[in-house]
Amino acid sequence: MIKNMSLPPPSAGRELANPPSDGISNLRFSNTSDHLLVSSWDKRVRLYDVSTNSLKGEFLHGGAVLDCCFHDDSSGFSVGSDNKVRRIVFNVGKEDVLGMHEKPVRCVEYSYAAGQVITGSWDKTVKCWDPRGASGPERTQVGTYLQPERVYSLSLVGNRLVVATAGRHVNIYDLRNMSQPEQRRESSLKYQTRCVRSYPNGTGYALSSVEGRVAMEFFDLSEAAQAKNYGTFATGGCDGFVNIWDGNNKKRLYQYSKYPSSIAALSFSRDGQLLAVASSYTFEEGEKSHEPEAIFVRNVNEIEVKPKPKAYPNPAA
Amino acid sequence: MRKELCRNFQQGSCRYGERCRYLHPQQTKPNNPFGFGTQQQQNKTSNNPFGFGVQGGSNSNRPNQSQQPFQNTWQRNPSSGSGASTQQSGKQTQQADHKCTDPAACKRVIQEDLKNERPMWKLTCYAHCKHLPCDVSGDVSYEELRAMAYEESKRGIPLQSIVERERNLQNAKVAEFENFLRSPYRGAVTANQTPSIFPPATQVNSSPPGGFSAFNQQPAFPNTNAGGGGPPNPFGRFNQQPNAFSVNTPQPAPSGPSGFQSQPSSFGPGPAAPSAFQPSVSFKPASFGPGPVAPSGFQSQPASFGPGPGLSTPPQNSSIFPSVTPTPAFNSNQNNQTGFSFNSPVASFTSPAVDTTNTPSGTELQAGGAPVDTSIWLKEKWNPGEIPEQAPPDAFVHR
Repeated sequence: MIKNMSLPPPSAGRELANPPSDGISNLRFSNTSDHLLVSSWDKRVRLYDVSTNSLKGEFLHGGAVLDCCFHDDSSGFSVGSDNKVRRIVFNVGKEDVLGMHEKPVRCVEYSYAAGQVITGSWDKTVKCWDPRGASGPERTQVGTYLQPERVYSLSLVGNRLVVATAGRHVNIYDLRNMSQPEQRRESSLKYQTRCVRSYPNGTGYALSSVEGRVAMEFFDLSEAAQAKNYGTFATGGCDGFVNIWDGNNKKRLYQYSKYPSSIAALSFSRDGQLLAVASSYTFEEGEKSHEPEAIFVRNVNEIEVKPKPKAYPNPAA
Repeated sequence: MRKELCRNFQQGSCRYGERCRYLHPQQTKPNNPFGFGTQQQQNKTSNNPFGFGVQGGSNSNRPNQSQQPFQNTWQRNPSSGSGASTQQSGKQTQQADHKCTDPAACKRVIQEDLKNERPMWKLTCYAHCKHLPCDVSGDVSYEELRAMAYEESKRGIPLQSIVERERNLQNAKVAEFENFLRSPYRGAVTANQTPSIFPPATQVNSSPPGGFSAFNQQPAFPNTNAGGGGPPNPFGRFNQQPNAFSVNTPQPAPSGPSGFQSQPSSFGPGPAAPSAFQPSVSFKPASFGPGPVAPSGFQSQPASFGPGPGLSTPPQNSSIFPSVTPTPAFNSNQNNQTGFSFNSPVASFTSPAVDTTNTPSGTELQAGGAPVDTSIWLKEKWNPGEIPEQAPPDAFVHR
């Protein structure tokens, strides 16, 4: 079982010390600082301070942690294979269980608009929780919403929640009225959905699939005709590459050098100056030996992410 | 081409990619002895969203080049020349305009998709027409597969078995796609139930002997099938399995008195499909008799198995798949049913395939056994060889 140790080029970014010892399921920058929250299959959630490259906190859960998110700089939420939804308080090292799903919980988001924690699980439900209720699940669970299939990815923007499930289903909810989805769709991609992320401007969302494609969708179909303001976004794949795209012009702007392993997660810092890259085998080839996990934080140059002016077509060769 | 190292590539990226005059040392992926692997590395890229291109548009005709920075060498239509973007958009509109009015047209779309654009990840769902429901469903995500592997590992199942199970799962799914590709297009077959593929949180059963490992059934599984037409058929595809054994081996089963009720089930006929299950079954050679047994007189009963010796209660699961428990016809004279892990209680019933009900509809497989004295089901313990192949009549099945 000999692995080629491939060293990434220095430009890959600064490698964080004390990375997780097993697969990284997600990583997120804080909205208020350069803290990075990382969830891992080694059952731990870790908080890093990127500016000092130090580990600020570590929480051990009962099973693989499949997702995490910040609440504010002092606390966050984490979910995973032990079916529990937890709030973790960083400085104190304390954790509370908000509640449980019936199967592993795959995604967690915190909605500032609603003041609620939203979770999606392989038990085919999305649940909303009120984190202020410290005691048992009866008090904290606000609602549970059945999905057509196992939930694979969630994204929030404003009052909207986008839920992507197995079987290519997409449900779009208005958080103010969760009794039924605002829209029910099937993915416009042909293969299994991997990830959904809403545009920061709230006009739509991007969906990615295992075929390696990204679809850009709008909430309001009448806006689709205007097709502006996609903005730029980054994608990371199992090939170890991170690409930066201009959605508006439908062009790739930049590609970073290959990372040692699959790109498991990406996160931009609040000011867009940093990009955290989780280089971590994502099991796309099943159980096998793989490179050790690593987190790289790189500076993002404006030139890499700024959309270019529309290119004129090349004259015929 | 000069042999100097390319400075831009060293620093992160080079716009010229393969065309660059300087050297781009490529990192190689480590070889892995494990893992079901990727036999074909086609289009295994993350940088080819539909319609997106690279500035300056390179038009290489090698669809498998995926690791060149800035090089979008993939093309939907390799025969096109420099008009790649118009060609792509032409093809794009053709597919975007696709309406499912003509099954032959649908078939063409499917064939093209599955030929050119199969993802690396095989446990995927698929729809030939965007925004439409899946034609092939029952997908499994990387994380679910990983969770299963970790769960099994925790229960002491050896790595080799885990890998084998994963490989079998993948093979089954690939076979499903092959079958779908081969059969005429009949419209999207939506699954009426979803796979229940990972172990319940409260796992009470120990792992079956012999390292038999695959998915566990949720005890709650029946509840997900409310209001469907017909009995839940999570192993719908699996039903084809007996075909592999029974059709080709006309040995008579041990006889018994008649009176056995028939329970029709819908099995796919696909001769190719059962072979997909060969691998999934073959890793348990000890459990099956050396001579696969199938009674010559087939009735419309699927092969099934009753509670194993030593189990006094019938498996709860029998209510879930009343007639579709997949087993190749086993020689009931064989003295090894104790090793048959199917007989262990419900929650550890395992199936190597992710259940999906996308079998070609409307086809029946004749399987079954010789008539059986139904009083056999009244016994509390069975001697090896006594348990009939056929499913017990409904009257004996606890619901």
